[in-house]
Amino acid sequence: MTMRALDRLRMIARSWLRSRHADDELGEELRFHLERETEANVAAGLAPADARRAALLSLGSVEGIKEVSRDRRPGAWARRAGRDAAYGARLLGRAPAFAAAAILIVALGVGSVTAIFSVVYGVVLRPLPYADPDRLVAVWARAPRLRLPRALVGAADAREWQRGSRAFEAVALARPIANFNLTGDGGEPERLLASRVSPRLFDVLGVKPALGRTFLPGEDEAGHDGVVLLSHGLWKRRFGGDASIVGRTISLSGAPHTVVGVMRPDFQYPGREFQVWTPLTINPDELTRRETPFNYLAVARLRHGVDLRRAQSELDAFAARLEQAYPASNREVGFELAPLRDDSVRTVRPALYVLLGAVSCLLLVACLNLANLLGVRAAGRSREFAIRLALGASRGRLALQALAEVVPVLLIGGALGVAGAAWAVAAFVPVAPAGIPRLDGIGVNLPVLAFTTAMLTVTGLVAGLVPAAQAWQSDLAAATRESSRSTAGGRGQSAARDLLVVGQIALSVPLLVGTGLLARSFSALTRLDPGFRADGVLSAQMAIPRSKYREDRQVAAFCAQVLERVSALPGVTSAGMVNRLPLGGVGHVGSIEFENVDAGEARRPSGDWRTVSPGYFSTMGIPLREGRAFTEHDGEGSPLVGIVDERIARTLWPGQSALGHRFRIPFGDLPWVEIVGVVGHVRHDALDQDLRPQVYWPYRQRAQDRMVLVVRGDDARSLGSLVAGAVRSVDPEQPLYDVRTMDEVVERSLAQRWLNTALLAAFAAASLLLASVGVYGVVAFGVARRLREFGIRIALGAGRADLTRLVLGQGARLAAAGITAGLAGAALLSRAMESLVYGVGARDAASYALSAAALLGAAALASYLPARRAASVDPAVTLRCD
Amino acid sequence: MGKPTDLVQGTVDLLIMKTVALQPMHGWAIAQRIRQLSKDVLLLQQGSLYPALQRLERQGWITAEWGASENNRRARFYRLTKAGRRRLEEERAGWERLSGAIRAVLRTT
Repeated sequence: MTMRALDRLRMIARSWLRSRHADDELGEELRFHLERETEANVAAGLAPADARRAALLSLGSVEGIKEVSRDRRPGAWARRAGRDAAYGARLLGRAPAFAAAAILIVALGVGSVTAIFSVVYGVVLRPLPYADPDRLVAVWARAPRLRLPRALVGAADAREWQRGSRAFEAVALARPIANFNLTGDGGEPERLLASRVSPRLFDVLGVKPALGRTFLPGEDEAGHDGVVLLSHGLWKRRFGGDASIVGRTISLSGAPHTVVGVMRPDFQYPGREFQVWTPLTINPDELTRRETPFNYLAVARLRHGVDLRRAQSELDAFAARLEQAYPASNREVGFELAPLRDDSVRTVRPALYVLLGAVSCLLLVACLNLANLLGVRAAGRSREFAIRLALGASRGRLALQALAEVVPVLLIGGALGVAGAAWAVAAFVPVAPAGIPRLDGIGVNLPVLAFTTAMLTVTGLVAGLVPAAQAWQSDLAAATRESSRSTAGGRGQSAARDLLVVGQIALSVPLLVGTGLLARSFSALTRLDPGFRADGVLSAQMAIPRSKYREDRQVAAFCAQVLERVSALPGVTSAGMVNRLPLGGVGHVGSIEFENVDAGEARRPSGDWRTVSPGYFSTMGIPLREGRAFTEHDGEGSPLVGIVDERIARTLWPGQSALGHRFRIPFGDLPWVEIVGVVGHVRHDALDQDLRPQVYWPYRQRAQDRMVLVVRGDDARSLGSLVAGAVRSVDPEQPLYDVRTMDEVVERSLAQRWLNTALLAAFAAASLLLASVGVYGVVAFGVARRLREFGIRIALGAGRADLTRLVLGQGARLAAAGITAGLAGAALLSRAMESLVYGVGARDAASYALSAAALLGAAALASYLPARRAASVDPAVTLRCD
Repeated sequence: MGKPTDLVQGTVDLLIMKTVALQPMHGWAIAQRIRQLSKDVLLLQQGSLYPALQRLERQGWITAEWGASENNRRARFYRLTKAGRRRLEEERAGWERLSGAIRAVLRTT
């Protein structure tokens, strides 16, 4: 705000305070004038009473003078607006049904838009809680050859930029997922999600710990890395917020780590679920470039004055140089920059923006609806306006007053809407899908309130425009000529009202089409075969500590023991293990080489690497297509075997058996394994994504330290504690985590989609309801106005069916016009929704047809009541009345 | 005495400023003085006097302060400011020009 405006505000405020004082002064001055006048009249010979009367007459209205004087003081308009608003509030009080409807409409529109915007702001727009966050970027690798559009980066490449970059001030790496079992502190053993990070990370981000220190340079060297930072949440929950934790030693997967610090609550790199951070030690092998493991998240701070484009072109130069120097590892490997803030919300942003767009449509529908309502009311007051015009009120004054009457509606409705949004957001955050980042910052805060205020103002202006324009056009002659029955205004006003309704229907079209698209996508996904049978299966994750089970053989033996105990439990039909659960959110991906298969694209396809126990396929209901499943005999010393999915078998050996062919991981001299079986294809990443084929190894020949136990039983849900007990009986220090039925796992993978669909459906339903009310209002009004005409028609022999058709036709015409106009908006929205749609085209005809049908149906329903009224007119009564 | 003439909007300001230019005066006295000087032709309606006084005060051409009146009561006395004096000169020059012009037109017919 400019100084000038501030000064003006201050002056008005002062004038408000002084106003009463000024009134008193003027009163005294006028009293004095009256006395002197009276004295003068007495001196001229009048009797005292007559003298005073003459003086009073000559002075005129004291209050009138005061009024004029008040109106001329600075800020008079503000006092007038306050008076108008108060008058508006009184009028509302006299029409409670109208007031309730108007307030409800405002609350609905503003509340929805506030709730969605608070999520958008909290998740997408809010600055990151780091120092100078605009200079932070994430760096990704791009390796189309490996079918990895967006991959983690290799340590060797990162070292190159760290050393040679002019654009970056500093680069830090993080290995996103590490699992630790926290034991030996007296509590239950617990698995912690950890990230291994460069000591430099905290400087790059510019964050300070809440307690203690962050990592020191050199703590990323083997032997010095026994230090750990705790998240604020873990510290509060597990260690009771005890500050003396700093300096103590805790046992992580059997290895002692000294707690050097506790981070602040808002430190959530790389995600909000991370609980501990340890230093990242990079294996010297990774810097040799024999093979580029894409292992690390990279975050960099740009130097002052360096923009994204310059940094990107520098990275492109790096990529070109590296490709030339190391063709084996860096062929077709590029690097990509993204602002760190955008990077963390990449997956949810399209959906949030679609929802924001949808809710804006709803707000506009509410605006138009309110405008319509206010217009009808203003029409009802056209006589009052005309009389006041005749008494000398200015048109501008009347229009302003009509606007000011909207203010109480906006204030009350806005307050209700904000309260509802705050409640909805608070209720939503704890149950929100796990995939939405930065959730804890969501709330109705100042920026959100500023946005809401802006929306309220827009609502007020749009909705207030109609009654203000009507007041402005008040016409004394017309108002007195028209009878009370037909105060609906002239042709222009009724056309304006039709336009408002058409607008509401048009804006509802994109919402309905969007809902149709999402709902049809959702139903396509739930009907989809994920490749396994989810019902009756319980899953539980384990991080098996290598510090305890050093050898692969020991890991396999531990797994075998767990499987044996779990299979023996009552109620358990079968049990198995896999290193990554389908739809579990974490993958394990790499290239695979097939023996004697032509070179080229297919030679080293990227596939899902899975290590499984023999019972895995039967427990998960993954069908065996050919050959055999693994057995407990596929172990050390026996021939190396593997299983591929049907997609590989079909692609590489069409029409032949895949059995007997061999594959391997194309790294060093890793051995070939022989295909002994072909199983069904499974959707691993997500139901709506199916990127890679799958290969399987038996757990005794390729052990993995992160395993998921799957158990099929009569009542999967109730098996949880039994299974945990069985695992504890093998190793009392081994925690289980994420214990869920497979049905829950599938549901969770769809949760965000479900939420989008449900929200959009709710907005569409609300706008459909509002638009129907709008149609009803206009049609009913038209019928009320034409009752006499209908009476005459009936008297002249028109059938009641004709009248019904006439009225229904009016509603249908409005709907048809609205739908036509809304198609453009729907096309726009469905283009924005392309990434959210699955299994149906974004131009899905059924969604469009259903939306149009829904709107037409709603319009017909809304016109039906007025149509009945029109058809049941008694000509005699109608002609007599009025 | 003929019917008192209605004052043209704008001339009220000029008359008030001219009146208080001589000495500080309260509202009633201003009205009286204008009436006397114009020999009962110009009757300043109180309904326009006080709003005019307030307007002039807000524009900074006159100031007011409370003082004792001739019959020893509290009254608000108005006085011309420096800016008001300049303004009065301008207005008067303008009025002279206008009335001179009107007179010239009337004489020729």
